Amino acid sequence: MGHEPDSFNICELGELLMMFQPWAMTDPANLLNPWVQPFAPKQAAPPSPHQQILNLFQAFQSLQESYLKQGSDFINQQQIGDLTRSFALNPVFTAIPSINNLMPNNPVSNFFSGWQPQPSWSAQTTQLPALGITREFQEDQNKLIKLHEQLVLAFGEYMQLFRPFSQNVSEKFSKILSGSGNVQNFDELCRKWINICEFEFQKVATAPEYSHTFGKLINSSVQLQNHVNRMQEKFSQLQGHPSRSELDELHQKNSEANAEMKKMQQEIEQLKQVIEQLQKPRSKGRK
Amino acid sequence: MNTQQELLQNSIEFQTRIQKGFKVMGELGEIRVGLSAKTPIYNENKLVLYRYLPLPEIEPIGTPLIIVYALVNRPYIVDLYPQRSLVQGLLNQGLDVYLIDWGYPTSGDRYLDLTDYVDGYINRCVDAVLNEIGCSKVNLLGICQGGSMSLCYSALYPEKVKNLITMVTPVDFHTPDNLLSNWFREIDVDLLVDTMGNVSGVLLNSIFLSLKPFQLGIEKYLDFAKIVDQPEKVENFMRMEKWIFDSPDQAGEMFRTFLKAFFHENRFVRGGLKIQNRVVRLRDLRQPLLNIMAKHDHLVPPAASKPLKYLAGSNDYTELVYDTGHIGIYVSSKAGGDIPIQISDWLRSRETAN
Repeated sequence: MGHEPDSFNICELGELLMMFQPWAMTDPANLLNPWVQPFAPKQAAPPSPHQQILNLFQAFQSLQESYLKQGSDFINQQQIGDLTRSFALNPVFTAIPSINNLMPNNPVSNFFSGWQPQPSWSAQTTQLPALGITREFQEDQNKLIKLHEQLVLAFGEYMQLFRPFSQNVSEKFSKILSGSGNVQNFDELCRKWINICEFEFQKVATAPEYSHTFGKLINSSVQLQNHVNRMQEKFSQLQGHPSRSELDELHQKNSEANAEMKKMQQEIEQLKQVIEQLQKPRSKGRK
Repeated sequence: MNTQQELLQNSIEFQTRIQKGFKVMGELGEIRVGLSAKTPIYNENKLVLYRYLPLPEIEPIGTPLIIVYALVNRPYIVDLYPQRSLVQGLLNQGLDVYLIDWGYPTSGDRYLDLTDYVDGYINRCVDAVLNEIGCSKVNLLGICQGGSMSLCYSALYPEKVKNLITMVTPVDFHTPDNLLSNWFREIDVDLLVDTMGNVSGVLLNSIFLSLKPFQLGIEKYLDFAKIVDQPEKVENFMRMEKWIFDSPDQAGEMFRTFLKAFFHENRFVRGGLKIQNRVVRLRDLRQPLLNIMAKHDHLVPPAASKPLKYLAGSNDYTELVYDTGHIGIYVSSKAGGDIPIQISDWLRSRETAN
């Protein structure tokens, strides 16, 4: 059992010769020489239109991946935390194996799967006291970042509740796909999937922790919106525009005035009726 | 699974149906709802009180009936189209029917609260009907949130309400199977209203649909795909779609007071509800009560409505339960055909009393 010698490669010989006779290869006249031509460096054939399209697509895809990586790295720096390892879309995409198989490298799940808990520049900067003439703005910005993180964490907690949902749906649906569900047609298959999902969803949604987590999510979202409203209002006032608070105050006064007016109208009607009663001719009394 | 040939056949039939469906949908034109003839008799701000014109061959008799619908959807669901119209059914029975159309609140209505709706709008609508007809009492039919408001009104003004009918109306908001109430329990309603002002109808609609997301979001359209080539059924489906997604915003203070009083504090059961500094007690309801419920109601489960029997002070309490859902109670063929007859018979048997 010996090592089989490499087969003789005439091209390698040509390349060897090229090393010693580069002038022979660079002289254009030699390119026409049939003895030299096989050993000449091969010029790449121009790509076919199909290949050009593929190249363009690959370039676009690599550009997209680089953007996604940049975004992923940026979010890593925001310190979302361990919670987001099992973030929204991973359990959803693993719930139905067929979808995962159709999109094994779907960019969205790849986007989230790369997150790592890291020290956050935002966590450090938001803890710094605000300084200088723009301190109020700095405080608003810091609070905005904190509220945004709070919302993302609340959303992560909310989606965590659906982990058993996705696992159970996946198991039950896999049984149907494997043939044990006795499905006769595609419509029936869809309805079975819907019923499974609805049943598992109700299990999650009726659990006590759901209302707590749902409330936390809504409250976090509204807190963020509330803070944004306040910041917008400050900018509006700086620019001399009427603010939301001023309009609300006007509406409130208008509403109270309307209610007061209606009440007065009612009292006037009652008084009118009393006056009508008093003005009725009295029945003739005894003399 | 079917053989390959059967699958291919199914696929061809499906595609043919969908192609025809596109043609059918393209020829639909404007989706018209609320087709029963009516005339406005009172309006205030965005509110309009309509009187439905009696049918030519039937003269309405008896005490007028005012329908008080919820604020979260448009009231034309009770008159969606002639074959699915609670109003038509009531008119066929010879009842004199009125409907309060709340309109679409704007930011100017942000500070209207429960008092404004119950002691303001409903009270003035009732007065308008009393002046129009020249009678001393009306019958009220409250539906869903409108039923809760009707209960409050009837407890405050028993002298103006002869008979009270509630349909799919929540009374006990803290029953374990009330998913909506459980979800709303932990929401900071003060923060929500202070931030949003009027509460978006789109947001509320999304929450209602998320109670059964797969059935209401996916299965419904699977069913639609089966009938997509039938013009009449497509038109009826589109009418329902129009209504489902036609959600007015809710006045901010009304949302705050309603959510706090009922969803958070369950004031019908616990007591202590005040409207215009007057305490609302369900035991002050002495008039005859008819409580209509839907067995498969996921928004207002029957358990949320049944406590009315024990909380109300009336000696004349009747319950009807139909085998439908929350919306099916007014649009299903079975319930929709029977309910107007039941209501009419119940009202007529109590017409001469009081």
